[in-house]
Amino acid sequence: MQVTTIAMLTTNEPGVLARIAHLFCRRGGNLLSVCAEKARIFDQYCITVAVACDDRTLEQIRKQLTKLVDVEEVTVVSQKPYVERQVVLVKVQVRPGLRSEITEEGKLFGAQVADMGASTITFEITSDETRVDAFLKALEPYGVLEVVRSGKIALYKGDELCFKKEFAESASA
Amino acid sequence: MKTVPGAKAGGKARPKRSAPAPAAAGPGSNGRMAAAEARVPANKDPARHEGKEMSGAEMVIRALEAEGTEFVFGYPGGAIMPVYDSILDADTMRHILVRHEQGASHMADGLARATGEVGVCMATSGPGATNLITGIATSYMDSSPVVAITGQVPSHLIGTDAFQEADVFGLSLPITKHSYLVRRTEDIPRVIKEAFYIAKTGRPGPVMVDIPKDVQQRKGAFHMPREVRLPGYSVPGKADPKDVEAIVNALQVSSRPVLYVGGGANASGAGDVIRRLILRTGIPITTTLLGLGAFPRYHEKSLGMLGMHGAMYTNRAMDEADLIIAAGARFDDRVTGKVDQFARKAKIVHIDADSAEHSKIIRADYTAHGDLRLVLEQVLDCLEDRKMKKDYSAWWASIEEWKKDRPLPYVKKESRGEPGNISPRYIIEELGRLAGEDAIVTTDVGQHQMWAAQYYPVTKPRSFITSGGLGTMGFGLPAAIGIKFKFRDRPVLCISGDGSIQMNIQELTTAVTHKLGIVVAIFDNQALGMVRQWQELFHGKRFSSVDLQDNPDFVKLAEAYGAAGRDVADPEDVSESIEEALGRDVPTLLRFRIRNDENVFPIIPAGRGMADAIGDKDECK
Repeated sequence: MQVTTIAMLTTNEPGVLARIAHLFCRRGGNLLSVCAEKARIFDQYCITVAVACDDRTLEQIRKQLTKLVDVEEVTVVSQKPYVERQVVLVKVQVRPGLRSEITEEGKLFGAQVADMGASTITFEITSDETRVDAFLKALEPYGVLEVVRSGKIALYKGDELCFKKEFAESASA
Repeated sequence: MKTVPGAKAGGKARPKRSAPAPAAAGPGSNGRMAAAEARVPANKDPARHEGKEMSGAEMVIRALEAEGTEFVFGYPGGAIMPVYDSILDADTMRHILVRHEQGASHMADGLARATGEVGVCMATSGPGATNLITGIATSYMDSSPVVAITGQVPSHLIGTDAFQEADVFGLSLPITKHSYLVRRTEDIPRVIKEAFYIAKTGRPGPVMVDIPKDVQQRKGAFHMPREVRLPGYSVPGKADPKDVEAIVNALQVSSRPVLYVGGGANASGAGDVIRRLILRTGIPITTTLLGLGAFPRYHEKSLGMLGMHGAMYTNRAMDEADLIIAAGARFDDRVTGKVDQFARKAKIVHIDADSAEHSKIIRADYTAHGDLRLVLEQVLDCLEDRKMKKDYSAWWASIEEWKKDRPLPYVKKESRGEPGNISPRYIIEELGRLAGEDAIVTTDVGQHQMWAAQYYPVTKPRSFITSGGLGTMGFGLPAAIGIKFKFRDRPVLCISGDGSIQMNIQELTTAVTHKLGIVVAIFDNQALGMVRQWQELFHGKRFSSVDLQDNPDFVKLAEAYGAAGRDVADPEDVSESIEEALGRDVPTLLRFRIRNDENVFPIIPAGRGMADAIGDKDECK
């Protein structure tokens, strides 16, 4: 089963996320990641999900999502070259004398220090899944205490837009 | 709380209109209607309410009226009481009090299917709403345009497990086309307008509108938008001409085509186009259970219903076809049986208003997305342009041969040739013959439903109304009632079983109160016949919980409700009893005693292919 990233432009009616989550639950397809936030235009939301399913289920889910009245546009982003990001916060244990070594490790991966505790460092890294996994692996020997990952977000590479309608409407407004 | 009945009535004199007033001025009409007419200004244009300050409850009524609602089927309760108060001031709309909310949802559904207009039902929060759910799910599975309005506990109590609180929005998700929880009073007219639009356009379906009590009580300015604005919703029209060309190309090279028509044909009003297409091309047509009526059942080009209980020759034709044109049908498992054995030799064309149905079950070779009536017109135009004419006589010769070899079980008056036993197939034929082409028939679910589907001589679209997708026992009687309100001068029959009828028999009261002369034909085999049949055929005759010998006396029961009842045990009395019932203007319950061991044949066991079909040799020959 492949992992597919789908981006949706929706209204901000209450319950949109429930409708979408329910649809995945009902039609098959395992939701791996969800990110819902305001879109560029007031009154719209962009909901990005990563789902594991076969091609046939994916096609059915795509069509069923399109049918939801509150969903304005559905784009299967991972069908073309795309940029994908997630934000991760990770709290690492700092044993005496290792603080600068751990900080250096973070720099190597492009992570920011979000917070320092008496015996911990909290890193923030924004990257794709592969790089995040590599960073976490690198931190493992020091003692990773907690990890929180956000849902993934994605856009097409190059000039192509994910949502054609959104652009058309903002242009005419 | 001013929602107690009568507490508010002192304010202004209000004629008592809660009692039923006949819909149309006719023999049944009386002075009450005339009084109501006089009270309401001649100008009933709902637009005159535009901009007025009113309660949310009144907005519900005004918006429903603006949408042309004639009947609302419902049942009051705490959280919907403000709306029930406003119903007393309705101008053009009537509320029909049912005896169980499930009945209301089936009445709205029946009316919607028979007319194509939106059916409306109403209930209170909690149990009222959950009782509607079975009916809403029934509408959803069969794509019927219904708007269900439910009261909800006041906004500040939502989420507190308040008295009679149920999460109607959550419950609605898997069984509606769309649903609303209205949060602002001013939104009510817009939401109702959108609900109607969504319910009836495209592939129709039910929409639920949940309105908290405080939203009903609060006042605001009534503003009914002229147009709906739903960026995430589009209504299919004509199909892409390229797709139409491809379909006609496929037809051009086919020598063994079958047109396979589903409920979409009735929903889109494609009956006359289908007729023209069949007469123009001469290809055979089969319909699903929901497609019955889209084309006359006993027309020479009709192969009747296909699938699990379709005739052997019909399924054989599907099996041998080289092209299947699916029109407004969704390849339900009761049609296909084992999917990889279904129509293996055929290319598949799939025309549907819902593109999510394309290749959902069977990979389609050609698809067309659009309103079925418009797409078939495009196909016809394209055929005309090409002056296409094909000879299918060899194909028809094969079909005729299969038909001669394995027809549907032959109809005899007496069951299994034994005197004194009425054949259920004979009752169906007599009902059809005596009620005439104009009749609308509803069914419940089970053996009687399949006999009706196999034999009832339905000729007109929207006149065979049955719960197909969900298979809801208890659908038939309330559906017939909903239909009869609209079609007072057409015969309305409900074909039911001794199991199904008891699932909503309380609605006999509604039928009696409103003097609805419907005919309820109960096929009484003192068993849950279809389950009994499966246990006989597939469970080694281990009969489990199917015995209904403890049925009530249906005739006495009918009489207790104020309806007429008659016990029919002799084949010789069948015709006369039906004629008598059709002549009445009160509901009649006919109890036909049939053999306990009658089965529906042929039958393809669930999940199997047509090669495994079981027929009854005695009946076939």
